[in-house]
Amino acid sequence: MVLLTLGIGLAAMNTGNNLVYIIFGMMLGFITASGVISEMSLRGLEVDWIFPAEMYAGSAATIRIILRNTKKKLPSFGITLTATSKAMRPRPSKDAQWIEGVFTFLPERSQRTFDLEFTPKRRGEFLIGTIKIETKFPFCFFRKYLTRTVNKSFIVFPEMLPLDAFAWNEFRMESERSLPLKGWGDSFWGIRDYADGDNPRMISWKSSAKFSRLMLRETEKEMEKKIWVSMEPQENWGSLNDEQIESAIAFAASFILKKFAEGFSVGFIASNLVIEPSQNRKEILKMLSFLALFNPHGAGTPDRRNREQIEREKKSRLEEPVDILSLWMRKSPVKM
Amino acid sequence: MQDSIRRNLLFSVWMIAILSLAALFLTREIGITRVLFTVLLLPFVFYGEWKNRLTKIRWFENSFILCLFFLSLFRLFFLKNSFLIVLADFLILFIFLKLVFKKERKDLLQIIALSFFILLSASTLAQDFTFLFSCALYALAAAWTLCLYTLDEQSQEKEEDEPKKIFRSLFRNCQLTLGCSLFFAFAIFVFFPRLSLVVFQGAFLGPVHKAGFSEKINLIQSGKIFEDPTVVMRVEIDPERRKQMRRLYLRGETLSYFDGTEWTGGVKRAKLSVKDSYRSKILKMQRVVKNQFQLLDLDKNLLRKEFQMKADQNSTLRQKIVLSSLESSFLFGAPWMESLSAPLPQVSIFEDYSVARPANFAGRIAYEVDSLVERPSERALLKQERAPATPPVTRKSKEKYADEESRANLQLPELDLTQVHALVKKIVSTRDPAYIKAKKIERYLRKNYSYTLEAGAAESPDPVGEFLFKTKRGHCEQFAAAMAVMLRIAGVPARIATGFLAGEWNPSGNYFIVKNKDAHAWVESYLGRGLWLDFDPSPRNPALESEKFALWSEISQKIDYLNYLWYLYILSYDMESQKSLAKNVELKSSMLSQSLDKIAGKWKIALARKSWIGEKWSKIWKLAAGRGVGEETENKEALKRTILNLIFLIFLTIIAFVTARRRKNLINYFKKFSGRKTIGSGTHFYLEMLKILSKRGAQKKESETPYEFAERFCAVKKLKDSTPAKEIHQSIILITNLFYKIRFSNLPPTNYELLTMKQSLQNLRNLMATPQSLL
Repeated sequence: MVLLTLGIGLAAMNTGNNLVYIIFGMMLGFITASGVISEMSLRGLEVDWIFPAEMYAGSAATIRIILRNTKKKLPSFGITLTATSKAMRPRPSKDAQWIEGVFTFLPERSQRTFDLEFTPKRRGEFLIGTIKIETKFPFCFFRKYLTRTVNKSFIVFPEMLPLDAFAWNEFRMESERSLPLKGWGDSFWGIRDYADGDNPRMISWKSSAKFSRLMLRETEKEMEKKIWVSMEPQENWGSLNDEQIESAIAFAASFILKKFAEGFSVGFIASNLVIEPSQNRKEILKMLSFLALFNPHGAGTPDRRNREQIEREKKSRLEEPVDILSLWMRKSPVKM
Repeated sequence: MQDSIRRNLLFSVWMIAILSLAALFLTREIGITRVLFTVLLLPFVFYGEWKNRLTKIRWFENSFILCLFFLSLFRLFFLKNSFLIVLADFLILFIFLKLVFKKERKDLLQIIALSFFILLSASTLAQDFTFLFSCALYALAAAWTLCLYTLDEQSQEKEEDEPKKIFRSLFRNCQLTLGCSLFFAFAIFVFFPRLSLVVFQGAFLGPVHKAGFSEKINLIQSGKIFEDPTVVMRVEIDPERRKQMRRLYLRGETLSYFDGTEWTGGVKRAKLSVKDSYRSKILKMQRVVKNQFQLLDLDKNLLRKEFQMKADQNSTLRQKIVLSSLESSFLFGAPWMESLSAPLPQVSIFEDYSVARPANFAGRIAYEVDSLVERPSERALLKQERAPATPPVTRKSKEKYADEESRANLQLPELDLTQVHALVKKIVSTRDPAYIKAKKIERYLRKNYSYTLEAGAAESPDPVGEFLFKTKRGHCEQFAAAMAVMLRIAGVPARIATGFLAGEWNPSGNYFIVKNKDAHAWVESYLGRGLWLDFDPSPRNPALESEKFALWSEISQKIDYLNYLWYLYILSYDMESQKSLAKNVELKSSMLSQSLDKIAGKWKIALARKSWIGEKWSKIWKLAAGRGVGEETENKEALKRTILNLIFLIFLTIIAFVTARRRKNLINYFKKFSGRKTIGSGTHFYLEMLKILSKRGAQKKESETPYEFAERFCAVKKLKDSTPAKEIHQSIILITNLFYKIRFSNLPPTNYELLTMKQSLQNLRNLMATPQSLL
């Protein structure tokens, strides 16, 4: 555009044609208007991000970008947000993944959201350092942008593997069996008369009809499903190469989530982290975060408690933990 | 929304294409066939577009454009058509081709680009003020289309914004763009120095064929030119002088050689008059200045003495001529052109005193000519013819030169002219002086022959004979040719002068409108002593005379005046105009400053008088009461001045009052544009609260959210326990809540909220000022 304008200016000087001068002036006016309008479009914009609670490597996640126009009277047009996410932990990487959101129109004093499909390639902590807010509006002549520092980080959990085909029976725990006691469970225990304070949902209507009074169905008590996943000893992890580590960590994360989905209380043991078995998803996310940042070669794992406490907690547990590394090796044998 | 933008973009592209074509057609340089072709076919194509029935055949499109390109090259280099016309034709067909087929996104961009080049092409051809409107409309349409083009790239289907709202905002942007464009166009036009490099001027950007003035007369083929209404030139003269003149002849060149059917100029000697017109010989940077050229150097003393002519200022007619592009390089002016002032580096002055400009300056031109319009009286001429040989009236011509010239103008065609000889003998006597012979023949032709434009093409090898003895009807060329031949037979040197006869007077601008149909031919007869006198044997055309009173003529005169102004002030604006404008501005500004100084001085003196207002008031009172009726007009003037001053004062007061009321809004307005409040609009009260708190040492950390800050602030023990602290707490929470609402909900605050916010802020200000409430 600039070259064309210069060309027209030269043509005007060559021919001395005043009408070409007028066109030259109009082109300069267009360039100026383009600068002013694009500046007006970019001013008064604010960006927010909403990351999903769980992001897994290799799986698409939706990042919601919120663009807010704080201008009182002027709308913004054709805004493109561009950001690069860089891996910070466990291993910093120079390769950046692009995130881009497009907003065609943003009226004054309003906000718009843009849902972006983002597929992280690897686990770890990622950082969005700066974002670029740019526009080609109004005339596509120039690309004008401004950059803002955000320093927003998010954690990508390890990749989820399909574990359905694996033989899991051998890992069925003793604790999963039923106990010969009344309590909460699925197995039938007996029928008795309904008494005040009993759960009306447990009334057996068939028996009640038979005996012409309210009868209650009792169930056999089932013991809590509990499993410990162990990452110990960490030295064994150190002997694996990067690819094997990634595979094993992905396996561990998938295993934990699968057990959690099956209704197990999952506990976690690592050299510097012990999490009691729990059905709370927050605790599971802590485990996944640990796995996301796990680096057997470096000191990148989070040291959340002091070592003595960890050792105490390790000793206090009753069940033997599942050595996740051995399990992974059995599933996919590797040469050590 | 994407669909809506795409559809609007498509029609905008159509609009911009049609606008550019209209701008080109309005130049009236494009042939009627192309205009009809486009105007008749485009609606059908548009209908196809509307119904989405257009298809894409890329190979056909590309090959057709390639053919078009080679055809244009052929026209340019082999047929020697004007570059600008060839280019315009190429662009018209190119854009038409693009419009005919189904358009992808890149096609739309190509059409936008093509439309711009068409507008550029129109700028090189345009001569009237309609171009300004075309240009402004195009700028608006281009801004609109380009905005849509940019948005079309980014728009997504799922967006739910109302297209109407978007288009309203876009239109505001387009208005801004138009404003910027017009401002820059004006600024560049006025202030950008005119350097005229003139690199390709002659080769490519030469004049497009305009007026049909021909440098020869063919008696067999002539006739068509007299019906062409194209304006060739406008001749501005003093309106008082116009009243004294019956007709104004504008002479271009003379034709001396006649072969029986065609009159040509023959070989003429020319004197080159060169002025220093280039600043640099290497760069050829033209100095666009007007040069003065001396043409016919008449010995005025001799004219006064021997021809009893006045030869004073009133005898000379100054003509300001604005000449359109012509195929001919001749400059026009009333006969006996004495001097020429034109922005030309050089002119060629021929032996018959016709003037030609250089080949690369054949475009539009404005120049001034001074012509001696007074002619010797009949008596003086007759007296001079009988007198012995005396020196010629022109200073630099020699006798030998004059003799040669007169001999050349006695040449007759190799035809059987017996009948013409007999006719001449019948009209004139051999003893008659040359002037009388010319007058007799002129009168004979006027009386016995009639004027017509429908004489048709003569097929005889002797068109003069056919006109004189068979048809006896014809146009000016046939009359002039017949008279010239008859004069030559009678032994009087004669030649045909070609040019125009200024007929239509435009009273709006005090100038003659000279059109192609005003082209005229008359006779110049040599009467000795270097004197060539004009004789016009053509009777007047009654059709032309009656046209003057038509209503349309009046309207067209007004339009023509606008075009004339357009030419004078826009098209002819050059470096000289820039200089004179700068001088004018300087002069006017100094005059304004002087007058302002004077007014200020008067006011100072008046204010120094203590009783000034009382005096004025008493004067007004007196005049209003009628007691000052007897006093002279001075008092009335004073009253007028005082009333005007009072009105001005009242006006100033109103302006000051309105400004004071709007001051706050204005400050906010400027703040908004300076970008100081980027956190959020309407949340300044929160900043105010932070300012109050920071004065007492409570700084908000950058990492803290407003809620976190409020929580931290209120968690301080001292603050928890005391009564004023509770009030502070409440105020902070209230302001923080309101901040969140305005900042993030996009809901405007209610009046109640604003009121409580103001109260809370005031409360906070008061409480924080007391030492008990210190942190």
